Amino acid sequence: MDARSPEIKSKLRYRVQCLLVISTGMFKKSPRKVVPERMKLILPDGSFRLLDQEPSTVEVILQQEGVNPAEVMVTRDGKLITEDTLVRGDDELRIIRISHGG
Amino acid sequence: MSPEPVCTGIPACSVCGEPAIIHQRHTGRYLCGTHLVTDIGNRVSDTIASQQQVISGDRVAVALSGGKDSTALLILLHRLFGSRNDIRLVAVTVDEGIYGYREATIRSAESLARRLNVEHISVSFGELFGDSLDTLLKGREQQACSICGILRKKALVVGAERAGATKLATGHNLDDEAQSVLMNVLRGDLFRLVRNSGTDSGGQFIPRIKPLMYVQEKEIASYLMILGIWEDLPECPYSIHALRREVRSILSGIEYRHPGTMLRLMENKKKVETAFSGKTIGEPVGRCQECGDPCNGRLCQCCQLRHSLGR
Repeated sequence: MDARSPEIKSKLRYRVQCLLVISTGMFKKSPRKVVPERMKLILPDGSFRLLDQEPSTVEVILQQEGVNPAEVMVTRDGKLITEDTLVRGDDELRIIRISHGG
Repeated sequence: MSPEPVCTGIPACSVCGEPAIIHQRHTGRYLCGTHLVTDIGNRVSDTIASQQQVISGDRVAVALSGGKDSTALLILLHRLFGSRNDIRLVAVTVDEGIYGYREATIRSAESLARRLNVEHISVSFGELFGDSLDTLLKGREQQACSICGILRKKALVVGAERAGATKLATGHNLDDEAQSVLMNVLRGDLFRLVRNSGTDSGGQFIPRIKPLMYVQEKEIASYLMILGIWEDLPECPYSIHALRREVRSILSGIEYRHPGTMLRLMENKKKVETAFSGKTIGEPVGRCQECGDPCNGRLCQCCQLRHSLGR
C-alpha cells in the first residue's frame, strides 16, 4: 500500500491523536467524575469483570484478557467500536464471540 | 480562549468521517456501519458477477442453517435478486439433530425465510439417515465434524434437488475458505486443494457457489449487528473436536498480526488450481455404485460412511 494513501495518512493521524490524548489527558467523553470509576468488561459468557483501567485502546484490553481481536466484536453502550478505539475507566464494554462453529 | 479540544477516541470512517465500527486491516480502511453494509454488498455482487455464480434463469438453493453466515448470505442474495423474476431463491435447512444447539438456529432460519418471503425447505438426518447426529455419533464424537460434514453435504444436495435448484449457495466466508486451504495443505490433500466445486461439476451435480468467499467472518458478524439482527447463538457442542477449530485460532492470530494472509492463501489456491487445470488428480469422477451420486471411487463418501455406521 502507498504510504501516502489517504488510508495510511488517516491511520497515522488517528494514532498521533491517540498518543496526544493519552499523554495530555484530553480524552473526554463526559465531564470527569471526582471518584474514578472502574471499567466494566462483559465477557462472552455473560459474566463480567471490573477493571482499574487507564485510558487505552480496546486492543490492549483484549490482549490483557488473552482474546484475539479478530475473533470478537466489542460494543460500548451497545454500539460497535473498533479495536483501536480509546476507552477509559467508566466505560462498559461487551465482548461478543463471533464464531459458533457448525 | 479557545475551548479545550475534545477527542471521542473513535477512528473516523475513511469514506464519510462518521465514527468507524470496523477496521479493515487488510485494506487499512476504517468503515462506519453504513459504508460497511455498502462495501459488503458491493464485494458480494462483484464475486457473483466475476465468477458468473448466478445467471438469469437460475433457481438458487441457499443453505440456511440459521447461523450468522447463512443468515447474511440469504439477506444479501435477497437484496440482489429478491426483485428479479428470472432468478428464484429457495432456502434449504438441514436439521442434523444436535440437542441444545440446532433448535435455536432452526427457529432463526424459519423466522428469516418467513420475513423475507422466501420458500423454505427442511430436511433432517432422521428422515434421510434414520437417526439424529447425536445418536449416530455415540462413541464416535472425535469424528463428529467429518461425519457431520459428509452427511450434511448429502442432505443439502437432497434439499437442493427437492427445490429444483440449479445452484447451491453456501455461506462459506473468507475465514472458512482460507482455513480449508490450510487444512488441505496440512493433510496433504492435493485433490481437495485443487478442486473447485463451483466450476468442476461437469454437469454431474448442482454447482456450489460461495458468494461470501471474500468477506471476513468479523465483517459478516458486524454486518448483522448493524442490521440489528445479530443473535448470540450457542456454539456447536461438537466443534471442540474439530481440527478446523485449531486452524481457525492459528490463522486468525496470523491474520491479525499480518493482515491479508487469508486473501493471499486464497490467491495461492487459485494459482495451484490454474496450474492443475485440466489435469486429473486421483481417480476420475464416476458414479457411486449404490446411490449413483458422483464420486471418485466405487462408493461415495456418504455410502462408505453409512456402511461404517451400520446404516
